[in-house]
Amino acid sequence: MNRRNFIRLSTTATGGLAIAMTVPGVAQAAVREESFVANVLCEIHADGSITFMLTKHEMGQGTGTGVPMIFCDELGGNWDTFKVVQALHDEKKYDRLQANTGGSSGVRLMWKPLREMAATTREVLIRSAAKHWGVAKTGLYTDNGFVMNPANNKKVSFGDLVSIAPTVETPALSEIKLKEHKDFRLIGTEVRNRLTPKIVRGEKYFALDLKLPNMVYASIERCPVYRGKVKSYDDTSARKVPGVIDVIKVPGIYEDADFIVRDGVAVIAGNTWAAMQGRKALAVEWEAGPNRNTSNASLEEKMQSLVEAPGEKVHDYYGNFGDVEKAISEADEVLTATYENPYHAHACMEPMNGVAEIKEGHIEVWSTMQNPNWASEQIAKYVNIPVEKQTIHILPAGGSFGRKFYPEHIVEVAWLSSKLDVPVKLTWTREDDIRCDYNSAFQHDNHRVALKDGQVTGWRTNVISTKSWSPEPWFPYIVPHKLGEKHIVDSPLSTGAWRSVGPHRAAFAMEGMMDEVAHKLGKDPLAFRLEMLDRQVELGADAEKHYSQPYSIDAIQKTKQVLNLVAEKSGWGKSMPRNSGQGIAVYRFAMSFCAHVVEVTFANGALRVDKVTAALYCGTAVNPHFVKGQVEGAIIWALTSALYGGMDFKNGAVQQSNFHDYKMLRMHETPEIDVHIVPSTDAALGVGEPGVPPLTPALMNAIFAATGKRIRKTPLDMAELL
Amino acid sequence: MISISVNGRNLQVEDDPQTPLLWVLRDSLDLTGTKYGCGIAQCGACTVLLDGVAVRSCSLPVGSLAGKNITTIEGLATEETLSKVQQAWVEEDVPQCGYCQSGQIMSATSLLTRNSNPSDAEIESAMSGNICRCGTYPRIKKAIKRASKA
Repeated sequence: MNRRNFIRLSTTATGGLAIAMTVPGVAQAAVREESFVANVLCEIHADGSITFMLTKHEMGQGTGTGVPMIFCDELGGNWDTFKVVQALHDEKKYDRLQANTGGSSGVRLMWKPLREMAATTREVLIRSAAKHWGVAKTGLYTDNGFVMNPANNKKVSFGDLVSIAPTVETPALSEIKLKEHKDFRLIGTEVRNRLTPKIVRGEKYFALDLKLPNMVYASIERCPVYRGKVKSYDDTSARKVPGVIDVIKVPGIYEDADFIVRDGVAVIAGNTWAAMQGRKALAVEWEAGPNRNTSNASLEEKMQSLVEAPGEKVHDYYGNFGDVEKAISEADEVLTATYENPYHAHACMEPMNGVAEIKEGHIEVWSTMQNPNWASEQIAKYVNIPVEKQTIHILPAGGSFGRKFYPEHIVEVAWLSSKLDVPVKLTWTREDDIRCDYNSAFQHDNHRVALKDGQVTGWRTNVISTKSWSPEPWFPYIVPHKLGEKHIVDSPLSTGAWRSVGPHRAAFAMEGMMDEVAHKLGKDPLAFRLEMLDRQVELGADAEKHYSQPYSIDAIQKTKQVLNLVAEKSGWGKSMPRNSGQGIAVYRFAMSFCAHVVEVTFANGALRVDKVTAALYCGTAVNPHFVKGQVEGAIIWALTSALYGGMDFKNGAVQQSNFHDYKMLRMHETPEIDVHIVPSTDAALGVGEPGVPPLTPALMNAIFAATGKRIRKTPLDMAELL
Repeated sequence: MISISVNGRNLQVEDDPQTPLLWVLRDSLDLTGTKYGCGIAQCGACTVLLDGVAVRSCSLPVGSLAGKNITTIEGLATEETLSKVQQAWVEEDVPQCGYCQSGQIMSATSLLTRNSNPSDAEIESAMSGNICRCGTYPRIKKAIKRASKA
């Protein structure tokens, strides 16, 4: 990590990408004679500028600004001359510093290692300055690209220390001290997106914008049914379409449910449009395969049959203790409800795409990917090009939300390039994107709540899902008897990570049920939640043990913080006009906590979402401008799926195809959004996903408050309100 | 050969006249700021100006454009100076992923050309054809208001 080299005549030692993301408005550093490579991420140039390698994937979540801010601040660098360059995929070189980008983990997992690396470099620079001046290092500090000596008001630029730095001893981790929160200069400020000036000019930025000499263009007709295959095809007409160069059968990969490539037929042409026209002229007969008779109805029926069936116990983190059956049998009343989540597509604005070229057995790939190690591994496996003969450029994503975690677009284009002697660009159509997604899982959550003497005595959850990733609800509330079970069923559509993964499904049911119980007991939904977090009830030894775990105590405390903040900022409980209502919900994602209050009006047969107030706990908010933007985006994302989401599938094939029948929320439907961050000096946490899970339950709870109608299924069926 | 005018330059293109302007811009002219999002005029990512008015280039055959003036995102700024809409976008720091923003900026430019001081409802109406999956609508609206006051 602290490898140091003294490099002459080098500004490219860090292997920058052709589409370098530099600080706008600052000229590219001229080639200088000397630089100091402080570690695998940071190179300090003689002119004082710094090149920082961004190992994570920028997909709109702001990691390309937030992660460098952490390093620059801890170092005491100058942000104006801090150049950020997207790193190539390199598992050996970057290891855990690159890994994958997902689960709102970028800032959370980089916070400590980046600060340690930067603080080490800072100490090296301070020691270098001490040597340069011939003084003791005591009292020296860094600020804005300089080492400062307060004793004599002298300062020296980092750039003037690059030749001395390799000659001083690198401190051990035990010798460095991280900055105190009060000393941050960038962290906590509203630094602007480094990429905005490029974006507003429409400059080249995405893999889809790349053009290589002699490049050809590909479009693939894929089997519309997951796990289906091409039976036969006739390409006679396709080959006659002007511009079409070739037609190639693409072999499907179905060995692993988590990574598939659909069987299909590729049309290669001189431009994208000709490739798409050629595709339309193909005659393909499909062998639909094992999912040929599946539909929403068949899957719903299967899930309904399991709602009462004992399942596999969920892990202990959820909390399984006491005797739920006894609590249920002794209850005055048992409330039971099942909440239903459909499949959702990601519908990223940038469809899946990539460019690949193979020269003398070496492949070069340009694409968008959350998991470059996985892409590399799959290229080695299916295109038969070993990792050491791959150059993988990670380009920014035009939205990803979990979709580009799955590298099938990369394997497709890499495989096609192995069949062609020129570079090839693959573009998915919007129809491909909607029909061949890795959807958010289809899931039914059944809750049974035992009530006795006006108290919750037992809580049993049964989750039936098409995905095994953490379908169970997170649950901070104090209950004496609790049991969680799950059933994982085969998925007729490919299923994967979707902004907030499992929690958005479980949250809808869990926080909807909390609202149901509150109303049943005649209690205010906020007061009821706070009461359930602060209960003095008799607990058995195993329940006592669960609630005394640090994560339980922490969850209770953070849940209260965001609930209280959102209540205060939204004016919870204020008098609402007729036909209007407020709904509240709270949930945790990774280590962050978010609560929403949604306000709706239902009048003249139409529902209007008037306002969403949000409160987020995310530890230190590295950049509040981005944090608020992510929560706004998460709210709009979740509102879209709650109102308009859901795949309709029949005979195994998704029936929607584009934005006319798979609707997205638009500006005129967007509520007023007011985001508040819990002030904190704790370690920074993720912010891209935590705003999603509590939105749907808060919305449905608001609809209940306004209309008295309890909605337990998404997308919202307006007929239920009429 | 079709003669078209893009960003003030007269160009000859060899594409089939039925080819949508979007693909001529992106693949033939290498003007890739204009984005493909849906191909059926539903998302607005491909928005350009045709004689100053916002249109969806994915659904406009290039053969129908002889004699028209096309402006793309690349044609709004000079080397030194951003347009007032682009400048407002920078000041509000609107983009997240950035993919839809060319289209958003072109729609906003068209709106402000014909209505220099739009109301909230007029902004929402003019921008309802542009989808942003990151959810930057609140900041887009702020930027349009800022540009209208510039």
